[in-house]
Amino acid sequence: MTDSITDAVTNTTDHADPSAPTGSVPLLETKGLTRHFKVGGNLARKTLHAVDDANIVIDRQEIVALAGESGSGKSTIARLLARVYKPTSGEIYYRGRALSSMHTRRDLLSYRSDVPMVFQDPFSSLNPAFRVSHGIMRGLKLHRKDISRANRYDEAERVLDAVGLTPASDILQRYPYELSGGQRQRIGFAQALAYKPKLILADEPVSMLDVSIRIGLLNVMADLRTNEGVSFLYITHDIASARYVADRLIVMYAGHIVESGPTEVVLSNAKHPYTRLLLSAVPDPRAPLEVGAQTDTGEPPKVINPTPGCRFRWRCPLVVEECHHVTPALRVLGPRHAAACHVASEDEIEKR
Amino acid sequence: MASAPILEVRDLRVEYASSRGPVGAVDGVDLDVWPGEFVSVVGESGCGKSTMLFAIAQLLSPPAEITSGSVLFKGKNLVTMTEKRLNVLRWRDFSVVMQSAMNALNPVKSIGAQFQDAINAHDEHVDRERPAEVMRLVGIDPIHLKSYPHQLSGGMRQRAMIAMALLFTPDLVIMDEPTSALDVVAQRSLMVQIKELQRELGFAVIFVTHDMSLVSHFSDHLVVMYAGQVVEVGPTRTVFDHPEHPYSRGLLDAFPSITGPRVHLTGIPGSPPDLAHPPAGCRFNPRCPLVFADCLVVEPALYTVGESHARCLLHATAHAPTPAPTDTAQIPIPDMAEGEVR
Repeated sequence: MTDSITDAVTNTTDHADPSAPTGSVPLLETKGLTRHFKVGGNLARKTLHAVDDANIVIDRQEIVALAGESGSGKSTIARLLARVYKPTSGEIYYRGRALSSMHTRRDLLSYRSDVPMVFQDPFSSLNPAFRVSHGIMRGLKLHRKDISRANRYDEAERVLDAVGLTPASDILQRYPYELSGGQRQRIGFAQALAYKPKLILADEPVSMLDVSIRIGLLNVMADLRTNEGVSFLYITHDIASARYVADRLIVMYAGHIVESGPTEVVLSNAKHPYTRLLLSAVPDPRAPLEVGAQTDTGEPPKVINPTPGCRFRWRCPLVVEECHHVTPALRVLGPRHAAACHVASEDEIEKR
Repeated sequence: MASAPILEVRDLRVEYASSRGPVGAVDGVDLDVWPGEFVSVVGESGCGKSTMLFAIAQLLSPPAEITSGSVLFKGKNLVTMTEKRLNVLRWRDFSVVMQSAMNALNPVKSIGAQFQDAINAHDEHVDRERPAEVMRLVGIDPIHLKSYPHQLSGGMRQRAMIAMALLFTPDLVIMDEPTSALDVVAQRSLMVQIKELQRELGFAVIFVTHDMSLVSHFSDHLVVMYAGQVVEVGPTRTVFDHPEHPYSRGLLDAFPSITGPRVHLTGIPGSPPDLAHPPAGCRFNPRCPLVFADCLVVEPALYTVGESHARCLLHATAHAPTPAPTDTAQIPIPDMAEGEVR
């Protein structure tokens, strides 16, 4: 990493993610990341704003949770980072280098092996016709030139061990249908791990699994971070699980990042009314019984040809006149804690 | 509250015929539902909870078959009833809300037309305004009767399904994970709505879910199922505060909280047993952190513990390990090994 790149990144303070740790070049950074989709026929062509102006920073060995309802644009961000989609505007920097400047096959391969994805549905993301070893060995062959052909099998066993699948040699020979949902999702993580990744994009990796099995997968993520030094972008709509594993929490609503900060800070002192709504919706049997405290029935709008203004204003209990005309920007409201809300107050004011 | 349960399930057994012999998906389940009561059934996937619902509603199709037991609905045994007589009861007296509204609604028919189908099939003399009325009940503008399923969001589709189940004001509504495809906010608001409707209209609910935390604030009675059997049953609050079966305790400890200290959780290691060859003794013994010698040979019955019942030898005086746990209010659970593969 040269110094000139470091400068280029840190100088553009207006774009940075306020919740990110400051200092060296982050592992991955997005600046003004935007993705629009064209919808409708030729005569009624409209633009759906899936992600607007997202600035996200993910550091080394960090788990960042991206939370929001379905349709909030969180999966679109994962796909942008995985280069499934090209951004409409904005840029993604991987270790200080813009993704749009990577053109050679070698660059792209190395990016893909550094930033793999784990999918939501473990039942359809594994090829049923091949043994478990197939997917892992293919990844090793393509991305791990440092491993000789003879050692590939040992490496495959190692990654299965790392995700808690034992005995590895037995599991490698099985077909996906012989495995439970939790085991299959561990295979998903093992496949990603075989690339020796720096960042795993996990798109709702546990939402299809039973509650009793989810925790095991979350622990696998935490272990991989500690033992293998992998960062995670953990996409979820379950804030409680985000709290369990994530260092930082980014909340999205209708394509905008509405709040970001260290997980505990955001949860204990949520600034944005949408974050508060999400928190109130989490079922918690340990909490005292209160029914009907929040009976919001709204759903995130499809952001088609949006006009300026806060996108949460139709559901917001704190709405003021300004919300209808001015799109709120992310404001720093506390240490590394920012929210995009006109009404949210800063820490100092609230304490008084 | 009336003097008799609206639904009495006794010793219900369902088997699936398979190439490896019969698989007992539901094994001797007893269940009482009183009028206006909210009963939740929780358990992992594959524990037989959905099969039990289908058996109660007489919706099983081969290779599943009810091998014994009775389902008394308002005193009439549904198991021995003919299809013709069942048709009179279905939808009018008890209705079913299926798991995935995405698939349960017909994509090429408008919501209103599907309401009309149900009306035609079960009762032609319903008030013409009734579909609009039930749509308003669940909080959807009746204008959506003209909409097709793809035009509604997931939450609205699920509400439409519930509206359809309420067409003839049934006494019992059976719900199979109606909220599992929804986001937390939509899920919460749907639960609140179901509870409000239930208070208003007085129907009883059997609610099946794998997410125990979801029903904690809504249900009156909780049934925990494991490997085809009821392992714990009791008033919801009692089970949550003092789970008597190690499996219920494991389920409760499986989800992280958003309040309180961040603690390391382990979930329940291992996976549910193969029901074609369930383990001898207690079916939970391969995964149980408190397993002792008798668990491997003695099959436990449902023992009464305070207000609830638990299928665990810890509560059987004849088999309890020495020293017997004197404090039944809290079973100490040692640290479980991590991972789900044994």
